[in-house]
Amino acid sequence: VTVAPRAAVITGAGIVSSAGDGVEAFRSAIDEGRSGARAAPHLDAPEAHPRMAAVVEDGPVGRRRPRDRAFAMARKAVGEALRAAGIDRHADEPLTGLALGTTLGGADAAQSVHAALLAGRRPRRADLLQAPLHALADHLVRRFGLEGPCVVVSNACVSATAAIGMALDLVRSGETDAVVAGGVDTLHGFNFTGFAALGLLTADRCLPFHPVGSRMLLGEAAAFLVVENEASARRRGARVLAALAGYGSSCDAWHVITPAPDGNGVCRAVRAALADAGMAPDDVDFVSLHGVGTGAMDRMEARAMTALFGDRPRGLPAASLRPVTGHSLGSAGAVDAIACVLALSGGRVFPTPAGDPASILPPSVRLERNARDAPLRVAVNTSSGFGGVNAAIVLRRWEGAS
Amino acid sequence: VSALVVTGLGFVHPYGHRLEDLALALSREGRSPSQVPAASLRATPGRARLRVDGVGQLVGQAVTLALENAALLPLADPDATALVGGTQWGGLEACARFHEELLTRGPDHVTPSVFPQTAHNVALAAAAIEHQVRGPVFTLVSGVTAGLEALGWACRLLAAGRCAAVVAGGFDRWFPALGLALEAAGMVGCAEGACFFVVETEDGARARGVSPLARLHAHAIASCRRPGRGPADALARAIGRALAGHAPPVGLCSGRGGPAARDARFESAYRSVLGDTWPSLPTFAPKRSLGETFGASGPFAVAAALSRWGGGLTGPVLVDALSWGGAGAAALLVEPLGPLTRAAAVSSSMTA
Repeated sequence: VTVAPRAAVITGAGIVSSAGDGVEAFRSAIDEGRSGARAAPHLDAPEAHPRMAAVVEDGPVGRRRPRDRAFAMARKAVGEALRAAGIDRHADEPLTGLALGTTLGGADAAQSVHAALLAGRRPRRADLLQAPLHALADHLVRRFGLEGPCVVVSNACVSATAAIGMALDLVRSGETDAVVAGGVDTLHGFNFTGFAALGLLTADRCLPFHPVGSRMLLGEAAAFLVVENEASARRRGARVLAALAGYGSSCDAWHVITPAPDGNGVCRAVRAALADAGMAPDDVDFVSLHGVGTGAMDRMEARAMTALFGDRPRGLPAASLRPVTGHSLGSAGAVDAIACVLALSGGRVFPTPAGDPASILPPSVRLERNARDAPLRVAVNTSSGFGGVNAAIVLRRWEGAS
Repeated sequence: VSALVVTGLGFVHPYGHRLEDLALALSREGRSPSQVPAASLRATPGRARLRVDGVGQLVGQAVTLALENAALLPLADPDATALVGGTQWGGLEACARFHEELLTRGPDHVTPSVFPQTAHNVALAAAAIEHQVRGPVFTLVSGVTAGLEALGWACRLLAAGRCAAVVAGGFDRWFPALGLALEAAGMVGCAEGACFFVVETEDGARARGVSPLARLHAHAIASCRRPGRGPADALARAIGRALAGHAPPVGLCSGRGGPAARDARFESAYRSVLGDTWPSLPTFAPKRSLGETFGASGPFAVAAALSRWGGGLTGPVLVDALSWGGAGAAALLVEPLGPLTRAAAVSSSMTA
């Protein structure tokens, strides 16, 4: 087996989120720290639990939408990403694949199957075929005429970051020219009730890394990037938004739900991603943290930041988007990756609204409270999730051919 | 990167978990039993601590057998060991239970501890905890092609230097509610199972003094962008990409074994890539013996190829898979390196 290293670049992005429909609206929302949190009375939840979530309003997903919201949101975000990259539907070139991360896929269909079985009825065949997670990928592949490799990964809240990492490997290995990579997850009574029952959801605001602790604001989003072989992008004259320089992942092997408290898993994922990019922690200019706002996860991530960046003499800018977009589960990594691409290409750090200056992060890592201009060159984005899985990507400002 | 080889195999199927069970099962045709006998799924103390459900027990058992077979336990380098699994249904049994509680008892009366089990990656995560696998761990959910894809990802991870050894395979759990639903959709002959391999570099295996069971030559995946002829075209592309630059296959372990219309897609793909003479290739469709094991079906097909042709055929064998939705196809070129007779595939903890 031989591997020819090929540089990978980002040539398109698309997003549907509670904080913005489309990349430009999203850019404006994250710059202003405008939260997409709102009352979500339609979500099942324990009686006394506030129904507050960063939900996508029905408008953006369009009138002629598929029955399942996840399908509709993913379709819109993938369409935007491909258009931005200048890749036509059903085009033979560049050969384009799909890497999809999701935890629930088309959950409406799965719920219909379960409801039918409970009622002693035969499930509809269409529901049964849409219930597996890969049905969502099948839909996207056919809709956009993607003929390259298709992968569907479900790795809890790391799913989209894993999908982006897999896209990097597919492009580097030369198996395809480009991959639309990212994730989608929507909110249902199923996952909202589940997280509420575990006592993880906030009643009001999400305050990542807050010294007195906080809880999680759930959200929903579809977010995709076009990861492309640099030579292919150059050949097509595509506009490059950033370079995807590295990827790394790890498993805590500690507990199915609780992260390993020492942060070693995140630390190893980030170090692996930096090594993959040929970089060291000192090269990093900005960190987009998972920052879900739950005590155990935040403390773990803070320890990882101490191990990675604790020696830095000056404050390393960092942010968590969870107060803005909520935690959109399997798509969160791609939401954050798009934010990093915007930060690098626009030279502007996005903030963590209500970020506390006395955060539990080490003094060398500074949670930004307001957007500001900054000449960023390298950004790291981290994700962690159920199962003790961790992943990180390294993005680099595009400065021309490598 | 030196050649990639398989150094361990572990599986659990309703017919058994030993090599002779597999060989016997492959000699039969007809409907496979659907469920692994409970006695074969007894929980180890480690697994009891993890409180894994049925799918977690299947995965844990098969991963343990594969690691023992490869003489990798205890792991010498947990950070450089990866675990990749493919599934169609993943944590669906827990999803069904949580849905049932939600729909019949209401959100105030669900069991919180069931919810994390609904995550499709938890079965693999539990196996990672049991054996301290701390490198990349991820779950592919591409359906019937997912297990074969997992073996492809093992190759990519090793080629990219992301780890030194990978436990890769597939799994799916059968349970009554799912069985009813599948039969309602015309999918009969479904069975549960898990089948995992240890994949590493030939140099690494040699350094450990382990004899490889097989060599992995190539792998490929493709998707289908239109219905109709699309699935056959996708399968043909996957097979074509896997065979490119390699010697022609000496055997074919086919993903056929379903309804005639579905089997016709395979035959169309074989004709377009291998030519009209493809029926003269030694061909075998293990689903006709083992049933439709979904995510595990690709790895079981590889195991079947090694079991049937190891020591008999010299050269690469083509193994393929096509998803039920028809949008995904996978192909793998694997060369058995001798008879699959190593007794190590039977775990000491499983033979009592």
